[in-house]
Amino acid sequence: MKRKIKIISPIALAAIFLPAVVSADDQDIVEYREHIMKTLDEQSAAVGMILSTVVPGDNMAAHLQAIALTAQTALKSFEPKVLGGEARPEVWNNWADFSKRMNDFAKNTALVAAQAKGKRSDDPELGEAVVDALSCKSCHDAYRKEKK
Amino acid sequence: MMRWSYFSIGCVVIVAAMVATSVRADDQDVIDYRVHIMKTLDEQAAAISQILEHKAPADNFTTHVQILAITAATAKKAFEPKVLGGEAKPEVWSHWADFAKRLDDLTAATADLANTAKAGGVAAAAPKVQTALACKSCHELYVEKKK
Amino acid sequence: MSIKIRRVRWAFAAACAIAACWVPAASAPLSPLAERGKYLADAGNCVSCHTQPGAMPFTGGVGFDTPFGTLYSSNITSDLVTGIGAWTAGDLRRAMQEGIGAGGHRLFPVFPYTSFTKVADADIDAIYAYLQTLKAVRYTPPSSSFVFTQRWAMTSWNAMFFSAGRFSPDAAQSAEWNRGAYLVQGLGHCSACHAPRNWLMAETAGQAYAGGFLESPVAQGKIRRWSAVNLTSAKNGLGAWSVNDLAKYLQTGFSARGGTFGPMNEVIVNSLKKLTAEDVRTMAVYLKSLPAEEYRGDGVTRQQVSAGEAIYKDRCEKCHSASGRGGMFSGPPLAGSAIVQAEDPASLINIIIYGPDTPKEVALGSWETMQPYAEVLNDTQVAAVSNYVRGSWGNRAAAVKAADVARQR
Repeated sequence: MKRKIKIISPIALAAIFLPAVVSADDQDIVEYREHIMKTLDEQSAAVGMILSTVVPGDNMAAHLQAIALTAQTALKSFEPKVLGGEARPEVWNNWADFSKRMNDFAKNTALVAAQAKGKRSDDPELGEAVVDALSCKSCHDAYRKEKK
Repeated sequence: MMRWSYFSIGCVVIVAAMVATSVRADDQDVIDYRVHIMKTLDEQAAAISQILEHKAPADNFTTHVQILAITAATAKKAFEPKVLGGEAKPEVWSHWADFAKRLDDLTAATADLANTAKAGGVAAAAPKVQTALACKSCHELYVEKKK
Repeated sequence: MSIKIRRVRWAFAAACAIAACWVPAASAPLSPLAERGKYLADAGNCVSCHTQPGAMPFTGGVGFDTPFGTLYSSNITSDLVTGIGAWTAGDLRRAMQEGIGAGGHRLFPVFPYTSFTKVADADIDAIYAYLQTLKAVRYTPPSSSFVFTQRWAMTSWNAMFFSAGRFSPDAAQSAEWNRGAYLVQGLGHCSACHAPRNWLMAETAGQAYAGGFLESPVAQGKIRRWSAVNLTSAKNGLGAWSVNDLAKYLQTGFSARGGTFGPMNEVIVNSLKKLTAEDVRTMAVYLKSLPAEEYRGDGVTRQQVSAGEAIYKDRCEKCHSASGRGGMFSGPPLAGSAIVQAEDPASLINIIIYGPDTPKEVALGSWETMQPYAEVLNDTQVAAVSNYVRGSWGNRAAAVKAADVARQR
């Protein structure tokens, strides 16, 4: 019996954790994408503090790398069409535009993260590129609901 | 003689670094900055838990773990300035050797988790997540209880 | 006590003038003197008070509603009959420096000759040269209220409150400071809004730039009250601002410390944006040198502050942060904000209920767009969250009442 279990366990684990089986309800989906968005918020805020020279810039490259990776996870999290949280219906009604913006965001943040590796955190060119890549407003104005 | 020249070089580097990045950090900024890092860990850990509980698709699992590892590596620097406030207990600095070691361990564990996930996906990494992300053991010692 | 000055705009006059507006003006190049005069007219922001919305520039007819009635600004195009085409340079000097019109009649200090008296003769001559190049537009502004036909009354007013005199540089200060003082005190006429006024509408002596309020039209004849912040380096004024912050704000309408909204929009877009960076910087240098006029009244109580805490955490914290410091990619700081702590809370209330009306010429960095809360928060809630921000993070200001909010709706 022990032997059987030893054989079964890894298979069972694999079956359990394979991506196909997800029993997420709507609230889970909303929360998952909020974890991603909030991560972007926190990390952008940290980067903003470095650019404003109110904290040291030692971690700049790491923050930008974290943002780039987080940006890569964002589009997937919006794929399930679940209204809720702060997502406007336009996210799915204008999916072509929304997804393009997300992909551009992932691309631009990746570029900036790569740029940061060779540069000082107070490099003005890097600063400009970061500000361009991290401006959330234009997308939010179109796709984020105002809290009622 | 060798040690002495390394020392001088070190001094020069430190002074240069201090001069190069003049920063106007005040206490509140120091607190806010480390809170951003801690909250990031919290959000990413929560996303990872959701995946392991089948409440979110696993496509992003490896990336979440990488984000966690990168962020964990930024934490120690953020706590270096001894500024009481936020949720940090004074023990952070009075027991700095232990606190710093725990952050180093977290950095190492999450880096290992990220490598495991890259190599073997969710299945390989899942068993290690619990130990790597045991935030509670550190928080019990170093985070103020909410009044 | 401050007295309101209201500007009322005449829609029909504007409509009549709109068609003519699109005809390109005569495009002969300006003489160097007139070019200099144009720059100085930009500094004085003549166009904003002398142009109704959508009308030909400088044709006047902007109404200023005062406790004594409504006064309309003059047509200062070069029209010989309805404008100032028949004026000499000396006439313009007398008007700007002494408050006396070409016919010898006294002008009212709604036209800020009380500030323009500081402007040098040579600069007024340049402005004159520029104004004479303006296309003559025949337009008679509406008649002002009866009180404003009684110009003899100005003799006593001027005797009490006005002393004519050019700006005289302070030898102990730098050239930069003096230029800034000249611009701020003279053509800038900042104290016209930013000084408290007495019951006879005179700026309160010795408190220039300590703050005031004004009423300004927002749309379709609707008038709204706004704060004019304390420009001194007090804690409730520009204390937290650096010269760089202030210069950047004045020139572009945006700095890390705050973005323009309300009546400052036209000051920045029509005037300051057009000045050189050097000149704007001198104004910032001068303003930052003003000794602090601290707020000495009561502050909000702890109870009043805590009543607003939940609303702040729910609706404001995300962009303005728990520490009130905002963030580069989220929103401006509220800690140390002059708008938040303004003695008159009108602009703070306005931005909460209406959101900012950012002009298209201004980009507020990477901040998120603030939504209007008019439909979302009632008067009591707006007052509560106003009190929270007015009393947190070292901010200090008097409490806001629900009635103050109701007045702004």
